[in-house]
Order: sequence, then C-alpha cells, then structure tokens
Amino acid sequence: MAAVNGEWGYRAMTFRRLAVLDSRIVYAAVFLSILLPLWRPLGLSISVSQGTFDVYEVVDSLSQDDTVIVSPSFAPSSEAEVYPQMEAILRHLLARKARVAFVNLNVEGRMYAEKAMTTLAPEFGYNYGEDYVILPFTPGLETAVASISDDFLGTYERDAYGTPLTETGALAGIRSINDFALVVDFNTGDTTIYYIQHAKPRGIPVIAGASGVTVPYLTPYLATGQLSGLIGGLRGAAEYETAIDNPGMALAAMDAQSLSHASILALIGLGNAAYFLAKRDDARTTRRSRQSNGGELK
Amino acid sequence: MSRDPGIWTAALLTIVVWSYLFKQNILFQAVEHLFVGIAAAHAMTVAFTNLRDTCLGPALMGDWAMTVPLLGGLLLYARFLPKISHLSRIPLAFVMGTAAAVVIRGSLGPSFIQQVAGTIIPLTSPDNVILVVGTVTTIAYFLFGRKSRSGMMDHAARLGRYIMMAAFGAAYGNTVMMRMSLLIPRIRLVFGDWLGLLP
Repeated sequence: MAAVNGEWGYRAMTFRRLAVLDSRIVYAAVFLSILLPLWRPLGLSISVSQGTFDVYEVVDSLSQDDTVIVSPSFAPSSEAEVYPQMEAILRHLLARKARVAFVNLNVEGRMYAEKAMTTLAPEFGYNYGEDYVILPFTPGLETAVASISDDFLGTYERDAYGTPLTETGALAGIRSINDFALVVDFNTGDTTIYYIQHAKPRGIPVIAGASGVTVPYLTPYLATGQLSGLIGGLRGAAEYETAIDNPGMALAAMDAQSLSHASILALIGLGNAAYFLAKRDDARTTRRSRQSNGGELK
Repeated sequence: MSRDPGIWTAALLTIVVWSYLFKQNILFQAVEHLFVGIAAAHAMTVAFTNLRDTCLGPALMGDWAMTVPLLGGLLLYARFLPKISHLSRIPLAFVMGTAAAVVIRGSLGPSFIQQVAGTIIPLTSPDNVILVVGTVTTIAYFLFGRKSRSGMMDHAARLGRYIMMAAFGAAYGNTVMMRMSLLIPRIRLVFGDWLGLLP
C-alpha cells in the first residue's frame, strides 16, 4: 500500500474514489440536470439542420389535391421522442391542406392517430372521412407493406370504424399506392425500410421520423437518396417545430435534453480523468518508493 | 396537486420504478411483475383480436376461404402429436416460402444493390473518402478466408475495427439520448402533472 503513504498516494486515492463514484450520485446529477431546466427554462436556441429542412421542403411542396400516407409505427416505449415529431409534421401537412390516410402497422397506431387528430382536426377544420381517414391495424409488418403496395384497395376495404372506403371522400380517386403523393413513417424499427423496399420502387417518396436509436440504421438509405428526408429523436422534433414556427412539447423539453447531455459528458470526462490521473499517480508513487529504497520496492 | 386517479397511479408507479436506482426493493419487484403481466395480457389480447377479426370472424360469417389459414394454423400444433407431427411442416413451409419471397423481392434492390452502388462514388470530398474507406476497411475486417493477415490487409482490418467502434459509439450515443428523452416526460408527469410544481 505504498500509494496511500505519501502526498501522491492520497491524491491517487482521491482520483480512484472519483473513478468509482457511487452510481446514485450520478443518477441524482442527471435527474437534477433534467428537473432544473423544466422548473426554470433556459431558453436555449435551436438551429434547423439540413436533414430536417429537407423533410420540411418535401412536405411544403404538397398541394391541396395530394393524399398522403401517415404511418404511426411506434409504441409507447418511444412515444416521448416520436409523437412530437408526428404532431409537428401533421400540423404542417394539415396546413398544406393535404388529405391524410393513417396506415397502422402497429396496434398502437390507431390510438396515436386518434390522439393527434382529436387536437389538430378542429384546429385546421378537418373532418373525418372527408379530409382524413384512419385505416385498421394491419398485422404482418413487411408482408403488410408489400400487400398495401401491391393492392391498396384489396388490403383495405373498410376504415378502422367499419365504413367502406368507397364512402370516404378522403380516399376518392385512390386506386393504388401510386395515387399517393408521399409516405410519412414514424418508427422505432424497420417499417421505414419496408416502405423504401416496397412503396418507393413504385415512385412514392418516403420520409421518416425516427427515434434516436433507429437513425443510424436509416442513414444509409438517406445517403443513397432512397429516403427523401429523416428527422431523428426529440431534437429533430424540436427542429421541425422551429421550422414551422410552432413551438410545442419538443422545444419545451430541449433545455432539459441539452443539459442532461452536458451533465453526462461532464461525468464521462470526470470519470476518465480520474482513472488516468490515478494511474499516473500510482506509477509516480511506485517510482519514488523504488528510488527511496535504493531500487527495491517495499 | 392533481385529483386525477390516472395521474396518481402513473406517478406512484413511476416513483416505485425509480426507487430501484436507490436500492432493490419489494415494491419495485411487485411493479415489475405487474408490468410483465400487463404486457403478456396485452400481447395475448392483440393476437386473439387479430385471429378473430382477420380469420375466425369472416370464416363464421360464411367466408369459407378463411378456413384454409385456420386449418394451416391448427396444423402447426400437429408437432405435439408424434403420429401426425409431419403435417406441421406444410404450413411452416408456406410461411417460410412466403416470407423469403417477400423479403428477397424487397431487399435485393434497395438494401443490397443500391447500397453497393451508393459506395461507388468519386473521392472528391472528405465525406466520400470516409464513406468509401470505412466501407472497404470494415469489409476487410470480416474477410476470414485467409489463415493469417499481413501487410495491407492487416492495417485495413485494424482501421475497419476502429471505424466500427466509432459507429457503435454513435449508436450508443443515440441510445443514451433516447433514454433522456424518455425520462423527461416522466419527470414532467411526477413534478408537473401530479405535484403541480412545474410551469
């Protein structure tokens, strides 16, 4: 225990204690870094990235006659990230007066479609059946997307409430997937890739809102131009809210998100610095001990 | 403070789950079991509803074509009866064949050919250079045909390993970012919706 006997030894112990800091202190630091900015917002500014701007451009190019597939393919476990994206893009779609067909590849999809439209439909004067329609849950994921792409009306004869699609004005003139102007998928898995594989080859542009974890898997499709736009995570939602000049739940959470990231970075830096300094001081203590004992280590 | 029983339930369950960060305790275990139970019940309900809405219901209403997938589904259980266990291979072969056809048809172009084409680009910008070098060196790491690596191949494989580590780091960073995004609404629920302490 030569390390604890001298000045350098005590410093090494301090650094080592920092390196093995009680995890509860780390949790408390991260917790406070989220709670404090929610309590007293800092108002940090957000810049809109090129990726988000590309999505904005695609949506903004739509006209009143266009019908769009919106696919809420996420679950409650990623609602915090993806739902704000969906609400922001839907707000833009409705402002462009586009007609919307909600395609639900997840059981929860219908719930999110109803939740979003309960707020947005009265605000933009949208009527169910006439301006938008919610389609029933379609199991099968890739098989479902392949089926929708091959034969849309064969896959869906009725909407989620049992009304025949022929009686819904929102889908008047829709015979196949080629009649849609755009597919917007909100996902935490592979559903966007299924749309790229089955709908995109038929000439339908695909854009996506994804959770942070999913973004690296979709980026290769963005780089090859198969995906026309991608927004990722809560940050992407906040950027889109900035782009449409409508601050919402994502922008309100960005202070907390930014500060929590800063606290994690600081803790990573502190932990690494403590580890390397403790290692260096150990080496110094050993060397001094050797020198004072004439080359022998005691 | 909220008077909504739903908010109270959600907030109390959230606090019990958080209590695990301090110390493992019996309340956390109870909530963990509750979660697993609800998830299992939800999955079973969804499966049954799918069966009822897409197959069983139409079959009972006179759509006899739906008896074919119903029969196929029942045949999957034949494997538990040794004398007729071979019959379970019929629907299994159908499912495997259909899935393979759908996946190969969809992925060959967009996920393979176009991805390969996407890396055949001029080395005129730093982005392009990183993309090409990253792809080639990562593939070099996974070339196991040679018994020993040496020279250029060894260097390329090592670089490929570093590039993969950078990619995994970026993926992990996104995961951490997502976890923070999930925590924010829970804190807002407990301190805002429940206790009314947040603006």
